[in-house]
Amino acid sequence: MDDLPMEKRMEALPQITQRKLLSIFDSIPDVKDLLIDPAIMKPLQRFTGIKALRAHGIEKIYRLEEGHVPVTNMKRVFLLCSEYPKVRQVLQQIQAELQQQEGKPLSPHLILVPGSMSHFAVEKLVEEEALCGLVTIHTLNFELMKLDQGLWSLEMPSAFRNLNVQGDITLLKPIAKALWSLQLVLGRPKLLWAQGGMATKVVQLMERFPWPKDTIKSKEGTLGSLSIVCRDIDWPSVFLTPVTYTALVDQVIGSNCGNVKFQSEAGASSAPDGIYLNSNTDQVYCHIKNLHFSSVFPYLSIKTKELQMDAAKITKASSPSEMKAFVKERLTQSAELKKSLAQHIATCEYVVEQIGSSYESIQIAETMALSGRKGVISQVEDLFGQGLLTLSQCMRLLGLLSVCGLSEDFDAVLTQFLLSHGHKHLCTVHSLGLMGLHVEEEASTSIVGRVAQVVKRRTSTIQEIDKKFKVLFPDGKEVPDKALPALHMSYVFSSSYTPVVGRIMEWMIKGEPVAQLEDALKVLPGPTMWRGSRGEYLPRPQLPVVPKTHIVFFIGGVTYAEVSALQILEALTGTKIVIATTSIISKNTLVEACSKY
Amino acid sequence: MHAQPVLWARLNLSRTLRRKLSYLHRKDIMLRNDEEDDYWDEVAPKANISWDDLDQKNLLGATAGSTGKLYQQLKSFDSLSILDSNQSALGQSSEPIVPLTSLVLESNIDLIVRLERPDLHELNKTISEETLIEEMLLGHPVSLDSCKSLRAKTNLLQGAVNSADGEVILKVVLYLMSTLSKKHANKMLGQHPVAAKVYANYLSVSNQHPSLANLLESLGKMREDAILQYYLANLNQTAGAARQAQNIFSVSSSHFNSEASDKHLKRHVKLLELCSGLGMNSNTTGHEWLREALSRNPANISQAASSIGMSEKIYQWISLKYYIASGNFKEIQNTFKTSWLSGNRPKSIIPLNKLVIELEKSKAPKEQILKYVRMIEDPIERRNLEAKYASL
Repeated sequence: MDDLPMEKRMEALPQITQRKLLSIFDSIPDVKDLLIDPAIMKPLQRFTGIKALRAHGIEKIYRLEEGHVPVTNMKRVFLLCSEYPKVRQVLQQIQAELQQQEGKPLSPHLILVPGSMSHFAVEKLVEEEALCGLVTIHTLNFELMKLDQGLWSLEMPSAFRNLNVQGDITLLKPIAKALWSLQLVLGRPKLLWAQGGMATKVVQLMERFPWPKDTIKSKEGTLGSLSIVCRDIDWPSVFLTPVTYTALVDQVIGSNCGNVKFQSEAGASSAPDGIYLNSNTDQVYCHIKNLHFSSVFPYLSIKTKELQMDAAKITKASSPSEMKAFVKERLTQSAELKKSLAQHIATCEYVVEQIGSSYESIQIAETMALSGRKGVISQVEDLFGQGLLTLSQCMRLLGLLSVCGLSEDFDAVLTQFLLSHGHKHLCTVHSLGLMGLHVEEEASTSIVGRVAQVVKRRTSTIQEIDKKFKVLFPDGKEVPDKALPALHMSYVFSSSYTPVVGRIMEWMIKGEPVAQLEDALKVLPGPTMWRGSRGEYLPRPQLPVVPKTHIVFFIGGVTYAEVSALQILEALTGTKIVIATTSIISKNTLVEACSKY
Repeated sequence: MHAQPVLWARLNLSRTLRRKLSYLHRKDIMLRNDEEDDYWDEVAPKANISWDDLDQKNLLGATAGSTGKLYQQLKSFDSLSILDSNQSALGQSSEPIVPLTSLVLESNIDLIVRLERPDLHELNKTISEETLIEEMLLGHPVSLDSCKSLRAKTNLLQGAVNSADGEVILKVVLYLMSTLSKKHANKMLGQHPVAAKVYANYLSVSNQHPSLANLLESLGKMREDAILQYYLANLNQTAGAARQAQNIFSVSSSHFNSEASDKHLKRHVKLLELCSGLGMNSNTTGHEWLREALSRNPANISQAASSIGMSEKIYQWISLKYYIASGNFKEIQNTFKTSWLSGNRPKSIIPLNKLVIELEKSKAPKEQILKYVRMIEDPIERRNLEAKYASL
């Protein structure tokens, strides 16, 4: 078992989640109905199947939607995310069912997956709805589940808003539990690095959990480092428009648990198109996932031509044995390849359709912002006038202008944004302030008040971070050769920006001077924490980290651009880097998190 | 003996109090006598003691040493007098008193006494705040009722915050909110921003907006409170644009105090007034208003657009797109400005090559497209586009 690669051993985690879910079902005697929240269906498929559910007493499975669901069994199990509207809907449904089934021993159970509402808040709501004693509440914390090779997620989308916007630390405990489970499976890392307030709290929580003796020290060759970082140490990676295939597809279309779906205008009457972002099952995706978007279509064309040539060859085949060999060995592969190519071509076309006309202007605007040059509004005014800037694009641009300290441009863009998308979004933009980005200046007449306002602003702008980490235009302003594999992490943002976490991991892997690392980390928000293989306090790390296996966990979400950057680093340095997160920051994540109140 | 009048004078006591003190002094003397019991037997106290009945002579029976005990006696005065009154009310008892322990088991006596003293109960021994937090962290059900004092509650909240467990923090905060006045509870939350955020998010998620607004105000988060009021004002979809304008204006003047916010809110109010004039609903964006206004052809649209903050370029874009979509090509050139610097040729703020693309997308007539192609200043670009569109 010790010889198994790290990710293979991590496959124990989804099985643990399944075990936890099935044990809840086993604790409820007799057959039961299961009603599943649609938001959980995709993650559920990652760790269990219908067969396992049926084997543990689930007879009927329904999708939890508005409206009446027939009561088949007296035992009803509702599996849902702990979100107020959903919980309230379920409790009202239960009340209606209890009234209808008066006299019958109806037994509803709620299985809550962590969301915006804490377990205690749900208990309180159950009590307020006079269902205390009638409804049994269970909790199911997901362990990390594999989205793709080297990418794992807790599928906790509410973490972005709760942690980054609201500053509510309730979800830190399930995160700490997941990381604790991870270390029980892999052993403790040689080095643990936590950066940011939330990250250090997670480590603090982890230390409270019981640690069996055999997990105290990492097994040799298992885990070199575990890095736990907060989202707020690198906002530009969230706001910039990426150029690699997966990152751009996710930003334009959006993904859900590694699945991308869209409805093209041409195929409006047919089923939605989509792709699974899975390198193991899709060889085409494996090749193009980190490729520059403009190089993807030529690659797909080449593969299509090869497929056509293969098909032409077989039509010219003379002997039955040749045809038999083709059917046996190549037909299935060809069919899968054809399907995969078609899906990726449709995806490329859709992306071009959506952002083709605005892409170049946005790239120029972003480059201007990163360079600290004013006048960004002139680049995007045409886009506003033509109605080509989506809500999420506007929010990202505003976020970037805020991080770059361009307050005049911010105000100009904000004015036109409110006119194009509605003044109600003044509240949406306010959430950027709650995230520590834009701070609205209150009128103050006193000197003390004005000084306080200066201090209150973000203490580290992008320029200050660049001085320490060299993240802006690190490879000069030359455009990389898009057809070649990437030679630098800044490839993901067209050589204009290197994700901060990528830079830090690079230093840790290459063994850069510790003093340089320590000095640079001071400009990042929040405290820094180092721990050794027994969880003991370390004043400073010992670099380079050995063994060369690393896990980086992003609290509050990660973008596919950062995933690409770390995978490029992995390829360049010959190390193994697994990226884990609470959830992927997708197309609508920022808007959805900021527009609620 | 002779010191007593001086003492009375010095203390400047009232007549009644003096009588009481004298009586107590007499009792003190009596209590210090070995014949204490004899005294009680000899003196048959009346049913109700009247201070006036006391022998005046006895008032002078105090010695200098006994005055030091006056305060002690005052303390015991009431109980003694009651005791005396009771005894006198019941009449003198002539039968011997049966010891209590022979009537009731000691353990039962102890139980009866201890029931009145919950602080002595083993079961109700106070659990420390740290232990309560530990138990909650482990998910064990606990009662926080033992934390009654402000100090205990403060320690409890601090312990919860230190634990970094949001569930525990929320439990403690809700307990504090239900057992402390708002003033004290909010003061404690103000000292623990982490706890305040957990509670605020709980109120937000469960749509308890009035409570959230009160919390934000009490924590001094005026900006956030203002934004919440603005958010709630915008949520109200039933109000027409005119009413909504009044609502927003009211929120703006009562809650916002910064020039930056003021500017956006004023523009929002102005937009709502313009929408109201056209009978549009309160959700209308600035761009939607302009398109509608162009279709009605009212005067001074550009001024109105400027008053809500729309830039000239964006105004031109929306106007152009509207005229192109409606086939009103005559109006396109009217949106261009003329300037003597450009030799009185119409000059568009919008790049003409983008205008040409827009005309092409809308399938405008070829001659319209070529008209604007010929206005492009760059000769190479003009020539290429002319060749492209001429062949259509």
